[in-house]
Amino acid sequence: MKCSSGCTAAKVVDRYRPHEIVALVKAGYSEELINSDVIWACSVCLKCTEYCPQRVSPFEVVMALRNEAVSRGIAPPKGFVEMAKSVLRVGYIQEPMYTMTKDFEEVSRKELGLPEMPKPRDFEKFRQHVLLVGFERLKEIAQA
Amino acid sequence: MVEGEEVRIGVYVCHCGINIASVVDVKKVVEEVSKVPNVVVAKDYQFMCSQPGQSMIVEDIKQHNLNRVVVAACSPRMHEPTFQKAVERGGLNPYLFEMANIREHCSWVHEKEKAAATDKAVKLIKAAIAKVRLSKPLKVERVKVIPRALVIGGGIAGIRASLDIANAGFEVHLVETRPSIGGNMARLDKTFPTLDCSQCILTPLMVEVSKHPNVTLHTYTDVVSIDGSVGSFKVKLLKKPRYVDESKCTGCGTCVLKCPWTAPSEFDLGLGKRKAIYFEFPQAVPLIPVIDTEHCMYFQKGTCRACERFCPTKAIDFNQKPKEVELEVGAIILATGYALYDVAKAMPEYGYRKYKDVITGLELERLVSATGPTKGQILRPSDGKEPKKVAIILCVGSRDEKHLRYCCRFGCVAGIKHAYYVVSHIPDAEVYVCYRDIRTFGKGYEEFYERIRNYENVRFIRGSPMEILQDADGSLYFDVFDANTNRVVTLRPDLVVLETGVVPHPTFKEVAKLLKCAIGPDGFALELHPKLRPTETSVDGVFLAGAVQGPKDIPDTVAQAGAAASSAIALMSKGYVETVPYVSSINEDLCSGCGVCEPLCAFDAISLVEKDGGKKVAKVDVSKCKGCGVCAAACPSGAAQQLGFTDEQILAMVRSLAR
Repeated sequence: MKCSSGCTAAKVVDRYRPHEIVALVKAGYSEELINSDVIWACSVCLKCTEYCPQRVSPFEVVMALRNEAVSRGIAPPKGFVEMAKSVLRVGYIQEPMYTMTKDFEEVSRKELGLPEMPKPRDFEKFRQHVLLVGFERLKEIAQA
Repeated sequence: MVEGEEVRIGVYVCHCGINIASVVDVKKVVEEVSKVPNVVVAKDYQFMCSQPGQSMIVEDIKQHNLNRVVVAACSPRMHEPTFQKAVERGGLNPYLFEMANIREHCSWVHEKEKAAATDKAVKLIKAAIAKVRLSKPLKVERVKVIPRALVIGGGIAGIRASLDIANAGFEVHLVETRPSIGGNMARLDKTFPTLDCSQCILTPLMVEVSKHPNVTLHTYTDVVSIDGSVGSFKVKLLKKPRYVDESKCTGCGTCVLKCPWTAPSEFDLGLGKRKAIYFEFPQAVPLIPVIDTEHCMYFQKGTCRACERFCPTKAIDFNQKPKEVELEVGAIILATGYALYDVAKAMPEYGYRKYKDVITGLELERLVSATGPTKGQILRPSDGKEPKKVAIILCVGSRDEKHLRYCCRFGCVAGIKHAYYVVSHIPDAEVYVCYRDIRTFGKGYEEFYERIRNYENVRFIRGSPMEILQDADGSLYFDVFDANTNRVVTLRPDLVVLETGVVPHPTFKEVAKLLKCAIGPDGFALELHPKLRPTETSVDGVFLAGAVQGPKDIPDTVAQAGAAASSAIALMSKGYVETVPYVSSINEDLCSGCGVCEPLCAFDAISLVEKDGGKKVAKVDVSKCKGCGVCAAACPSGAAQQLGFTDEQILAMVRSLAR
């Protein structure tokens, strides 16, 4: 269970355990998972795939469950849809503006001397590609 | 049988219980093959290898005057010798026999295609009939076995095997690449599950083997070549120079005391220091020091010579040269042991070698040992402080598809023992053992686990960390998911102990190359049969003892060493071996002397000789030929033939199968 030891999402979402998702799918509980918002917690860091001693990839299992949910018209959690919208709007899951320092000070990238975040060079082309992989469908489902 | 005599074949189809008969229609097979010309009798039986099955063959040979026998059953690797002996009991040459494999090659792989499997069985048997029809009687030769054994590796396996052979009255040469015998066991402080002192049970054996009148010890020596075969191997050893005259040295240790230069100690796995002239460890056998030329100032800069000046017996000899030793032995025992998996390189996520306070289990053994770098105190390497929180991680590299697929077989119990080391040395310490499964299969191991589990300050966490990280203040921490509590816990240990996986010792690969013995997929020596012949190798007369065959704990290693010794003793007591007659044979009239075969022969069995009249022809040394068939396959004129597998026979099989 190295996956659950090092999982980025599990550190903040107690209910999310990659090994548990794989075990549930193997035991025939896929339906339950497709209808659950727990599968949307994965942050796609791929550490589980990298370190699994049995060459299992919990990440791929989670992605398959997500695709199945979307194809059935099951809405993902609101936060996830907002992220998707943000990607279509500005190219990022959220607009990078401010960040919090260790002393709880809000600073901008500019104040930290960081360069401005690069944007997709051809935004329309980027949008088209993102829509191709089914992003629009997420929005539709959420609105329905 | 007499040349030109009528060929009379008996065919026997085995059911192998239901292994064959549940897929292949054996009755139909018998009906089909009995129609083949020269087949006099064809029968089926439930277990051909059983006593009644074998007797059936013996009786039929006499009753039906058979001069060829085919058995269709399992693999010839399994039962060819069984049936050859039966055929011999019936009065026939055992090489007038052929086996058709209708189990591994047919019923087991065609479970769902019964009709097709039956057809295939018939074809395989017909091919065997086509081959046996052309078989000729072959002669088995007897070769003398030299009553002397070579044992490679001076760890507990090699020591035990050497003592057993020596006690049976045979001469033994024990070779060890390091300056002292003792191996990995000498590094351990205590042995599980009884917790008796490792040195206390090992050193008496080390001394016994070195003093035994039948044993010659070759320490600091490598094996450079092995020729010949079972019964008479010709071995060359290279004794590396110690720069100390063994006949003069008394082991007083003055040189070591006076030597001003130091280097990391190999025996202490780099945790401690030793001098440039050093004993491998205080109880080294033989107790003769070695000069490490890389760190010796005399060898590097030409000055110092302190050891030479102070040696009371004038034993230092800076001009010592490597010495070659030649031996002839009848049997060889491989006991090269194991090495630890290179976790620093293969698993950087655990930070071994990057963080000083991440150590291996074997390194902890050195810390706990009274003769180790900390004189038996558990002090962490970074600041020499006593750790109050220790994490022990099991299965590091083992049972991992991306690293070592196999279990190391002692990591669990070693880890439990290491938890005991910590709480017995530092009573107020907390120990966390992170495990995937606990495997305590040996005698007394589960009871030992139970005992350590009951310590209040030893906690078992069911889960492995993914990575070990370092905080800004230099302290180590890691997250681990505990399946028992369903929580991810963060541990901040002062010391992390990795129970690393094990790999074959690197010397094994070199020795295996010299011997041309088979290596398994995991890199360990491949035994002849995993259950029934676990100490034998693909090379006759070469036996396996200990971790060379696969990871083993001490009880299993000692047991296998005894078994390997008894196999070698049996071979030497019998005094002779029978050669396999499937050797290459050259038809000198056909041989053009092109020499294609000579460099292809892996066993140096072929040489070109000049005949009367200046014609060159290939000549086979049958004592070296292993019957691999390479020369027969390569020969452009068909002059090289492998007896028992001649071109004529192979083509007859192909023709039969293609029909």
